[in-house]
Amino acid sequence: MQYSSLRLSKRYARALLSLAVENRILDRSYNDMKHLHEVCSTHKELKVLLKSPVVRLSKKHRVLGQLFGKRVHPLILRYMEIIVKKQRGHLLEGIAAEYLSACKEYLGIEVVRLTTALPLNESVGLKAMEAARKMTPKKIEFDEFVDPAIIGGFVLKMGDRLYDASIKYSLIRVKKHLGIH
Amino acid sequence: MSELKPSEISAILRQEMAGFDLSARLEETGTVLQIGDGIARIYGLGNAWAGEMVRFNDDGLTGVILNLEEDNAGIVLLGDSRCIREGDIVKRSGRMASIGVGEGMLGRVVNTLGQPIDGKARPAGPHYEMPLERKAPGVIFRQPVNQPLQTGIKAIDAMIPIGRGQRELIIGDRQTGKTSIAIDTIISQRKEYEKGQPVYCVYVSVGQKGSTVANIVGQLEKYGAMPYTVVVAASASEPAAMQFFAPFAGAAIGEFFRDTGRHALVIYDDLSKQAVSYREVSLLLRRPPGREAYPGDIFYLHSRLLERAAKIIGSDHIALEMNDVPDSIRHMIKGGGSLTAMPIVETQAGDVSAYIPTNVISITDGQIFLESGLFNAGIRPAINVGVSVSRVGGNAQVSAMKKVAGTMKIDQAQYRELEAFSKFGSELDPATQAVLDKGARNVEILKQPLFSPVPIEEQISILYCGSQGLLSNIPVDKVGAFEKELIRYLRQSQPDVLRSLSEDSFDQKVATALEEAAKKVGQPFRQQTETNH
Repeated sequence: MQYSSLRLSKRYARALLSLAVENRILDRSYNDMKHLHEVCSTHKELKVLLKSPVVRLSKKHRVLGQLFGKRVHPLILRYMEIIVKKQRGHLLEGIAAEYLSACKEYLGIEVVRLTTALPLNESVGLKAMEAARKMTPKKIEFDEFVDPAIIGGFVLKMGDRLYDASIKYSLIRVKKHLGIH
Repeated sequence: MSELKPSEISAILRQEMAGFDLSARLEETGTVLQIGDGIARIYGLGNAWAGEMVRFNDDGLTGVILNLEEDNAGIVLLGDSRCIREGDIVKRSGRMASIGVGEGMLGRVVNTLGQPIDGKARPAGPHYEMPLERKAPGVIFRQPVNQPLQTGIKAIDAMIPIGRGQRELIIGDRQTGKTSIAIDTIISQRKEYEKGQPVYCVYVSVGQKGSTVANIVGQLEKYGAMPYTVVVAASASEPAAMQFFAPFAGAAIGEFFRDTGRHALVIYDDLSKQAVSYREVSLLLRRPPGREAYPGDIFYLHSRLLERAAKIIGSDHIALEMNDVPDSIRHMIKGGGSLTAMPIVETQAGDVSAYIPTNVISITDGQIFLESGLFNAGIRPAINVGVSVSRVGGNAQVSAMKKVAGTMKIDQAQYRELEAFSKFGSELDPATQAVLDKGARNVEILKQPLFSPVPIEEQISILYCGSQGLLSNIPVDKVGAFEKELIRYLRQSQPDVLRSLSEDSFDQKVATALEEAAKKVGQPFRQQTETNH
């Protein structure tokens, strides 16, 4: 995503968060936006449709109504319609993602991306949790990924901060230390 | 060859790995949002500093943070950007952009990051980390320029003297001999090096052809100047950031010598090309363009660079308190050192009122102005004496030279004025004729071939002859030959005169000896003229 879009998505997400808090629908809105994010990321044609200037606004609204009308809170549907009306429909996926992280931040939950070489087992999970505890006093929620390229160990990423305890990175550092190019 | 045992290999490895900490550390990172034209936009890096070095993908590519914005950082890459992709991880290094400087760099050609590019091994000896951007010493830690820096060029040492710690601009059109003056100055320092009081030289080449740099290094090697010289080269094919940081790398190397109580000379060849590469980076970073599309801080770019040239106070304990001293050299600080800067600026068709030339003229302590007209007329070095000045060097000039060449600048200016008159062909009075004759001979004296710096005592000898009118009977076209003959005679028969001149003592005895020598050496030249008549 371009950084201008990122900035926009953040602003829209912040606006929705304050609206959700005001109307006491934080949980419902979280689930709705999660659903929206899943739909947008799996069905790229929806993004194309919402972005297209050829498709009329009324048609876009009808599509949104048919897709989400019965599943999401009316406020969220209205919010989506406003975004589409403002010609930012293509940003919906990014807005949903930013909203989810903004919600978690509001609730004091820190999402930590945990990458391991093999599916997570208990001992690595404990070690990772121990390392993550040192990084933040907040409640921790792991977002797990498997990447065989890191060979072994684990990598924790929390916002800007990175704790790389992977075998791959250790080997890179050894290589540098020994001056091997 | 005997085979290595596994135990030996593991012992070597263990020794090499001793002290290496394998435990993981918390690092601060960002993500590449956009990459192109040597500029990266990074999301994240929340705590990074402006001017900090960052690493890309752990593969050695570095960058410097130039812009810190609300939600992204603008970074210039110091290398090839082709291997970087959107979404790549960038890590903070926790240190400002800096290079490792040490004595081992002498005689080497390095790039902006201090890495050797001459195909030889890594520079030997300890290296001290010196920041590229550093605040210049404050007023308390400076002292006025009082020691001369001999360029070995008669016109400069006589009329536009340069002192150690001065900033003297060399300005002129293309092909007027700007670089030659700089190279001659470096070669001229060989004498000091041989005496054991070296003036370390740093030649910074910005945006020049690789072949030009190779040629310059070849000349410096040929004339034995490399042992006390470091060449910093950022050729035209390097990324713009490497080019505009190159003078800062040169300044950092010079400061290492300056702050450890030694003398250094740094040549920035040239600042107009550096300004162009800075403009490129600034525009790509979307900084607002100003006059000639240069960014608003182009003056500051040059002023902060040139301000780092300084004569440091003699007292060691005051020098120890100097501001912004890097920790790496804190234990080595000594007073009395100096860093002389000779920036070069190229003008277009002699236009000194363009943006960069006026800026640099106003920053420096004087300028040596070279003209293509003089160059084509065979007056080389093609220095226009009338507009060239040295604002502080006069205090540093050796007294013997001051005595001999004190009025030379005015005499030559007067000669230039009258020369224009004499072209009308009208009859001239004897006084005017005398000025013209003397001026024409002085012009001949000041001519000098490439790569042949003249020691100060020999300069004084020949300039004395010129200023006292001892050449009046020698034809103008024979002045060069007379000079050679006089120097040869003095070296052979009057070494005492040269010795006392080199020790800066110029008394009546020396004057008489010089006059006699001139009379004796000039005899055959005069006879030739008389026979011709």
